[in-house]
Amino acid sequence: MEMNKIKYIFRSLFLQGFWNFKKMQNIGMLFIMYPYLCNLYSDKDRYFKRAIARNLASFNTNPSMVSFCLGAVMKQEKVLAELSENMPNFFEQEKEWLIIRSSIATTVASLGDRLFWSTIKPLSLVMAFAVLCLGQVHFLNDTVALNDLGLTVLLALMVSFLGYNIPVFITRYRGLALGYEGNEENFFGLINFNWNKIIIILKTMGQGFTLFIFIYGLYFYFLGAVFDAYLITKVTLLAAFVVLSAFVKKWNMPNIYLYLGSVLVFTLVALFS
Amino acid sequence: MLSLIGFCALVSLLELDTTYVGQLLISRPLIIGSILGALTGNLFLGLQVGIFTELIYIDYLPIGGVVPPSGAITAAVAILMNYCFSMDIYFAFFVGILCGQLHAFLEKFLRSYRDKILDTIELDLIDHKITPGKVMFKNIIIEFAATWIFLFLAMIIFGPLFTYLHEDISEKIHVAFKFSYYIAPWIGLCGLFLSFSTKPKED
Repeated sequence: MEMNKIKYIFRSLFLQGFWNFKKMQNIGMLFIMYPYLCNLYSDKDRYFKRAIARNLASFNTNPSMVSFCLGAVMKQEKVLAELSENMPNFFEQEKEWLIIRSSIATTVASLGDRLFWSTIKPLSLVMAFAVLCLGQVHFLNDTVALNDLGLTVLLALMVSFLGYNIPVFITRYRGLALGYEGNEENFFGLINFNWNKIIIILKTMGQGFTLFIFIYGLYFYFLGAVFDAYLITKVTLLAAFVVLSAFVKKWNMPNIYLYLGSVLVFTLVALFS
Repeated sequence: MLSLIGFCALVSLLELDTTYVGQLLISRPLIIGSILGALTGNLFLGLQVGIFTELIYIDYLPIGGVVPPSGAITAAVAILMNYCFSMDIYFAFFVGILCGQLHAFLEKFLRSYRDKILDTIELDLIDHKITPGKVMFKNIIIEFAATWIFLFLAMIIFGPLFTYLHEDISEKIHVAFKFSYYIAPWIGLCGLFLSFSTKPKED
């Protein structure tokens, strides 16, 4: 594949630069494709205009995995450019271009949202929490003096940043080549990986880390506490909210409502007690 | 005032990462909170606010046309309110959450505005009157300016308002907000654990 991969990966960081409700990432996708289209249609202005119009069709996918779509669409554009002297075949291929573009975008969106937004993003967060816990930064406690723990914080931030971005950039880099070299048989390189297995392994890791932080956090939260009425109230309220949180999640309500609810309830109790 | 202008500019710049440039997660509250915490001289507070914000927003996913409340704005407002107006962190966190929600409305408005100008821009792009790079650049500048203005207004409205009301807030209200603040991460941790569930969701 003769192209400057780094250039297209860099441009792909701007996919959502003109996000709109009507056609979502269409202008962002055109921005990434623009130099490629310029090269393909350098001496055919009529076809270049048509290619721009074509690439302005509605587009929406997961930004971290867009390179799979990009590779596939580039390949299809190349086929179209070669067919530009044969009009009937060109129109037929253009229809296929649109089908391939929208089907790969939808598949990648669903996969990417599950893998990156729902799994790797929270996983990188709990990995950072684990570093903080192991470095004795008890962020769940009311007060903690950091003193010389700045390095632990820095390490945790690095873990969170790299834990997310390394998989993202590997996917962006490999996805471009796989999408370009792939075909309908292997769905442009997407079925080269067992995504479900990867997601299940990462989610299980995430559960393990979260459980560790929960237990470790609870231990330090109540370490040295005196068994009295205040402690019992604190434990009861904490347990009640944790159980409520599980129900709220089951009803697909965001946690933020529980926090706002707690503010309201505690304020009312405070005012009328 | 100058430092507030600078902080707002820094946050607006980093906020672009949420949607428009990169999505490298440098705009995640954990990172923004720590940066602002370090700059304002209270790293632990910044870190804690960042973590609490991450946990409380853990179930918001920017999928499709969903515009989630801004975690970056929430964390930044909380830390800056505490630093610039000495607002207690449990009140500042609440104000931060309000501002995060309000920023989502601003974001929806800007996206709808882009819908209106989309047809004209598409025609200009096809006729080579403008390049996609210029369209993106202009939009990113507008987005940065809008967030900066929003953040600055939020600070100069809510900050002095709190200072004015502070004397009248009873100790009991302080306790109520404080307790809600410290309960927030536990609610979030439970949500986080459940979000890692491998079971398919029931319809």
